[in-house]
Amino acid sequence: MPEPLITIDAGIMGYRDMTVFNGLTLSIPKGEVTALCGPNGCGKSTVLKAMRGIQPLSAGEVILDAMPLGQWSAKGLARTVAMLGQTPTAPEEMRVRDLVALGRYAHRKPFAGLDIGDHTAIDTALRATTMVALAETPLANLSGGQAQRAWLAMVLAQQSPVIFLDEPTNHLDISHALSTLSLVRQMARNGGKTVVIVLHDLNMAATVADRIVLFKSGQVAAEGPVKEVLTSQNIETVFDIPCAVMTRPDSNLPLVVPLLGRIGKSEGNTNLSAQKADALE
Amino acid sequence: MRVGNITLIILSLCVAVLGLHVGVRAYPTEDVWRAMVGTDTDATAIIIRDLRAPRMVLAALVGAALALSGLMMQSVTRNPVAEPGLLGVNAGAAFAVVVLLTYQSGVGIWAIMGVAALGAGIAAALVFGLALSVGASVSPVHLLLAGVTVAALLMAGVQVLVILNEQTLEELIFWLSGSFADRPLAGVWIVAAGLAIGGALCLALAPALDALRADDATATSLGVDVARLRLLLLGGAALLAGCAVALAGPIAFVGLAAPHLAQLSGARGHAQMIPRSMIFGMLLALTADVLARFILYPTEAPVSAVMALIGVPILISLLRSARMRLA
Amino acid sequence: MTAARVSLPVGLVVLALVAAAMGSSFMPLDRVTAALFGQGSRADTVILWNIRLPRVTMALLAGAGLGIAGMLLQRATRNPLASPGVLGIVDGAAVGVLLFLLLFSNEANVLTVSIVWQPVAAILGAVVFALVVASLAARDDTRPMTLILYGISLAALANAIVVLLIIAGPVYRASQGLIWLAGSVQSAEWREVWMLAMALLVALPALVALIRPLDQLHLDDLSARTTGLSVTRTRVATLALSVLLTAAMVSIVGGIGFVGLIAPHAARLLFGTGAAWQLTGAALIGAGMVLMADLLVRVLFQPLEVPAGAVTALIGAPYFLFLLLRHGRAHA
Repeated sequence: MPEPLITIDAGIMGYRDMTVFNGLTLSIPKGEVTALCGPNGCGKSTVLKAMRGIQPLSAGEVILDAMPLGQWSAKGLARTVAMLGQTPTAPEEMRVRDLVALGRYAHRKPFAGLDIGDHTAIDTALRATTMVALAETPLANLSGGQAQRAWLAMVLAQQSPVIFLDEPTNHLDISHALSTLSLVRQMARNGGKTVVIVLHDLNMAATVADRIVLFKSGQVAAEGPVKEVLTSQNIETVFDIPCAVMTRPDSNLPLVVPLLGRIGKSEGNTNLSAQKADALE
Repeated sequence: MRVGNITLIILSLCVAVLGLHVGVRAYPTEDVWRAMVGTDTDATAIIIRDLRAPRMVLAALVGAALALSGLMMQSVTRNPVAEPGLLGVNAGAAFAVVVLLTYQSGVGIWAIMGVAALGAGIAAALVFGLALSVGASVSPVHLLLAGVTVAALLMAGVQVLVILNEQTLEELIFWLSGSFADRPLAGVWIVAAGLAIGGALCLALAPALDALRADDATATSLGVDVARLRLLLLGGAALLAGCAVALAGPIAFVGLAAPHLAQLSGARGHAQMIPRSMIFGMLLALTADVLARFILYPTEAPVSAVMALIGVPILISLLRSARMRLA
Repeated sequence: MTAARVSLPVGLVVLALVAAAMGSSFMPLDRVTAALFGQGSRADTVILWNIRLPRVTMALLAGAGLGIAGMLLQRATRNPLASPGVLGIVDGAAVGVLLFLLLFSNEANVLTVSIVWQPVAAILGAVVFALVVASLAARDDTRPMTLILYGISLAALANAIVVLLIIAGPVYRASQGLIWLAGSVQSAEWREVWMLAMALLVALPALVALIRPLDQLHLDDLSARTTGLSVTRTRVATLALSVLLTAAMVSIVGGIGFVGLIAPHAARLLFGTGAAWQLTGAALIGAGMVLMADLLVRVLFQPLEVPAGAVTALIGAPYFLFLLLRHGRAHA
């Protein structure tokens, strides 16, 4: 594993009346795409927020680039880690370009307008997300996929070496989801960025991530390279469903297929799922 | 805090009897007894029999009317903060009365009550119309904001009218501050009758009101004519509030606090809630009236202000309870 | 938007000149300008400089202050329906002022301390009520609309206290209190105008420093934080500035309602959402609203002194209901 960039050390965190993690230790390597996966309510988003200093820890600490998170200034942190939440909002009448410019907040000098560096960063972000043509469009007029790309552009304009994404493919249809993920892939491969992404769809995680962390009920159930983590045994433990792991027809990445045994849709052919599972093992 | 209707009625009677005793001057029980049973015409007897006794009757009636009005509004809008005072219905009645008194002097209590009921009805139609035009599931906040704004609008109108007619200023300011003292008693009977009819009507509709606690679609599928029920009860609530305002001036928070206290006391379902809320309304108004004599002693404080002092903590505790669906 | 940015200031100057010309006796514009530059007759100069100009300036400054305060409040709470009136800040300031009048008046109804302490009392009252509302709402900040509900509750409480204080106070103070509460700029004095101007001047550097953080606050809290904004600090500073400005305005001109609510909306429509422009717009529109309201009461009700606050409510309330309806539909 490459050198860790972010480390959570014995972190205890949760909400008012519920502890989600009791002593979590986790490292995020530099320059890779790490996907955080797990069932609903397993705390994947909480971990992401904790690593960005938004979710406070009641014990333990988060270390970013060899310095505890508490010692980072708000703007310094923003220049290092950008993050896109699940439901970002901005006024409907705001234009895409103005939204992207908000990503420059931590870089701007007081009482000065946007300088050349800011404009370059904004243009680069718009180009990378293919939003140049829509730069002057109000947010209200964008489709779901376009809006998501606009927000990604804002995050890119922050020009931070680390990017956190919380379920960026939620509410997107499959083609927009894939184009978003390929953008994420590009950011890591061509931009040399460290990306941490929360995804609930394991197959999407497999296509975008180098490493996967699987959470179950407040603990790390498995972590490591995609192929090592996505085994039918791990998935059955974490999600409590029978499943098969195949190889994608278009690459050698794993493809997770949940089996229908429990739903019992295969009425007249009760043994089919079991047979399939056997065949695949 | 489980208390029965009998306990509460006895408590209300005790407060009413206390109200006969105390005030700017306190009188011993034998004086009160003499005044109430006898026909003496000395100053003490007149104060107790002709000044204090009527205001206790008025307080009880107005309190019950406002409580019933508040309960109806809360039930049909499914909104725990609906209340004639906060929703501008009282302000509508007040505005109508001020308009009447500005352009027509020396009108009787009947005309005032009619106009007040009309004003209350129009204000209610305005507020609920605005709110319901958003959708039947309008949030409590939007309804409340609409009510508060309509109230502000109407009170600004009252202010302009009052300033334009200085001769009526004194009388109006007294009435506008809300009080049970020195009010014409002729109108008491109509409020009593309205209360009896309204209460009976609500009790008859209690099963439908219970069904309305689910969403509109469910209530409809249970056989409730939701639109008609809503119209009927909101109209009734506005009429009751209008008559109460005509008699005692705009008094807020009784309609909010009484149903809430009724629920806290353990009443479940409208068959229990309706009588219990009315009794609590009585008790609240009587208590506020007695307190109003002492808060600024020897000056009499307006009952509306006293009710706000009692009602705001109740409103806040309501907001804090997780029961409430907001925004 | 460019048209509004030019025409609004020009319109405001014209309106101010008209307001200076109107009064118990009409003064033609040439005499107004003459008196303004010290060339007019003695009587004109006295009327203009001692009666009309203070009143006009006071309306302008108070309106600007209330507009800015409202805009800050709406941005900080991210709630387009928030306003100093709805949140109990205005009534809280009124409680402060009435307590001040009650505690520091002698039997002859003369203040025993200087009038300059009146804004301090107003600020204290406003801050107390704002803190109570904020701390009540802070517990469930996931539901921003609760802020408004708590505000309405506390406003009702403050209002009851105001009624009791007016009755408890001397009769003379009571009638004074009623007129002041309704919000008016009549019988303005230069001393009061200077107090308003000072309050705005003190607020100016803070406003300039807040412009960029306020723009960033267009984003949701999470995005604002991850782009580097100290959200809580920005919000507290903005709210505090809003409360202080409101209290300073209210302590002198009383509860002129709906300006803090309407001006930011109109500014957003006419000047756009950039904080610098929207603040400027809210100040200009607020100033125009109060000046216009005062002009209306003078023209319509002369010689009776109807408070300007009644007119802003009559105009502002229907507009607010319209906003409410639209907001409700959008969120239904």
